[in-house]
Amino acid sequence: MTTQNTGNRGPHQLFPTLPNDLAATCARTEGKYCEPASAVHPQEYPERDSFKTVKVSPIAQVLCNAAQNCTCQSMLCHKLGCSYSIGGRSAGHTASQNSMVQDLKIVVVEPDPVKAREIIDALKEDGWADVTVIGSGSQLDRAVRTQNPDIILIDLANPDRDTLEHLSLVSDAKSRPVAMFVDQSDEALTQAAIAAGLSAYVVNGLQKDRIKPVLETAIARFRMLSKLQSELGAAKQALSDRKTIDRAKGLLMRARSISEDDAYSLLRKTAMDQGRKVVDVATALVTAADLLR
Amino acid sequence: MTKTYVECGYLPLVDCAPLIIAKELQFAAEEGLDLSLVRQPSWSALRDMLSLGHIDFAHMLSPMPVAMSLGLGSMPGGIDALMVLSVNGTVTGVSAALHKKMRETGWMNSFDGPSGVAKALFAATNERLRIGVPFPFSMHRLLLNYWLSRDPQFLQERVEIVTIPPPQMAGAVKESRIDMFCVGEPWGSVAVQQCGAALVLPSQSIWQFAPEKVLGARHTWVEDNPRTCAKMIRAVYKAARWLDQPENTPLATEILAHSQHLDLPDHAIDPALSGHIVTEQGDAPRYRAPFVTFHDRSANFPWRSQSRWIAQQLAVLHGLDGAKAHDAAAACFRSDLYRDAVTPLSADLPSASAKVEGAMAFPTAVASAHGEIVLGPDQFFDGAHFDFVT
Repeated sequence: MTTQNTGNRGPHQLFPTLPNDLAATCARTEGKYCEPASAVHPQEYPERDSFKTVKVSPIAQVLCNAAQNCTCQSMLCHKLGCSYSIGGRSAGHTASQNSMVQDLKIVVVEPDPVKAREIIDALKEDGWADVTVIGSGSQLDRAVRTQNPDIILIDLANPDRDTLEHLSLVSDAKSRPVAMFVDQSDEALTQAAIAAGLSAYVVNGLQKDRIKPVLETAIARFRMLSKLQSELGAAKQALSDRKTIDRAKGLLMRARSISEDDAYSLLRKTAMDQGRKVVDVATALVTAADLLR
Repeated sequence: MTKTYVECGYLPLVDCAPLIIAKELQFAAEEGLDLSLVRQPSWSALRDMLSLGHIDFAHMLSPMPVAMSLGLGSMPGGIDALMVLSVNGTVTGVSAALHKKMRETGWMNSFDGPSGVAKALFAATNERLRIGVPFPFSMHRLLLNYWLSRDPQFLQERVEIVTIPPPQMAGAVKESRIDMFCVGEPWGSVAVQQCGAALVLPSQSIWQFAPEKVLGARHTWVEDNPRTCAKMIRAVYKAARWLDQPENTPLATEILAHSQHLDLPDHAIDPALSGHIVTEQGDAPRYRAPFVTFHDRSANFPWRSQSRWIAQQLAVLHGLDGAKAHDAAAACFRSDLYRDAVTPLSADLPSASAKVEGAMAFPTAVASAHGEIVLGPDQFFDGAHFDFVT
């Protein structure tokens, strides 16, 4: 995931301890916005197929519950996926699917060394090699900051969840992770959770045979969320671009007494001559007009 | 009589005492409730369980419902605070190393005087202070910020806030992962015993009447189950009243120590309830009563001005629009429901549902339903007033 990954780092201010090269990468990609999916003037967006960057927070938690031992667990898991909470930086929906899944950096929070060993083995068996185990939440803060994991696996009964909550808060608060869980196979509860914007599933603890489906569902759900977010971002951007272009057209029409079509042609020609986007030229014009007023 | 079965989530801290007493001394049963206390591993888990309808009531940090109605944290709003469960009861402590450096500046620990403590803290070290709190949306966090940010030497870069579950606080001090902490009892006393930490401030020296925990319930559930809510409020009200009668303190300590709900020995529970706090290893206890208030001075009343103060502080911390924050928050402290619920107990209630926070330097008589009741003191250490009444 090396190449895609560097392009998709979250906001770098979250990681004051990032190595310099990574911080620089973040700085480079930081201002990049999502190109509009529904372009106003498609021909004006030569870069629209370049990768999309979504600002999302850096943690995807997977929350499981050890307490319950319910029989319809597998059914529910199949139906709905598995217990997790998601957020995390963009897991790169431009990345090729399989390599991305296996290259995820995973941190497991599990105090019991035997159980931790089992989890690592299970993850490695399924092809996830980049796994770090943390015995106590005391190292969690540091691990998240220095290792910048894609997914954190933690038992729901683990008190260190509050530390994770804090970490997701200091990250980008607008696109923070959403905790998703339910510890019983209660259909009404599950529905309530989903209605509340969460997804609720049952997992009988961090068990070996459940890990793969948990992670796969978490990743799938995460992709869906980040896609939704990027689409929303794109739609908002398209709307604001259109407003700017409309204002610039209005300014030109008034100043030069030309028609709307001519105003747009003029904007487009200027943009092409200067090798810039129409919206950039329009923004410059609107800003200048505001200053001169 | 068939009892209504209700589940209430809690975290094993001394200040969940009203819930344990309500159950153990049958105050809940008297009201027709079959109360089951469900221990939760973390505040986030407790909040999610409550939001998703897995439990009916919860022992919550007072800023939690407010933060949720402001859209902060990973669970959206919809939680009402039915009553305040406890006022104050937390401590601020420093590691042995930091304590030594602070004393070298000429400061003496009096377990009071927030301005002096802040001055000594910033004079003692130029390094960043790492401070442990139990949860991002806690009174600990708000008071810490309120207190430190008023020191002229304060800069955001000089402190780093770390979230650490209370039972791990002493361990974090021992491993030098934090220099300082704010935590509810008994975990402050545990840090003193286990790693030589020194307690420098009780929360009441920052704000004399800081609502610490509240009884939370889902807003929609409250609307659908008004009678059950009223019963629960009355049961906890009676338990809190019982707890604040000084002659009951020894028995309360016994009950809490022997309760399956807290795994704490009596010597860990006693300091908070008796107000005898050992601030440094080997020192005689200092007396700060009431260290935690469960009922007196209308402690259970969920003042709308308290939720507004919390919202204002959260807005400052998280860069929200202050005015909107106030409106969103005021509604979640349900003084209306509390009034309706405790009126049949011939409880005397204040006439107003909001007060000027910080205005009372001494216990003050104010107008009430039955004549007058005594409130306060509720001053802030810097003497500030917060007038949300108008």
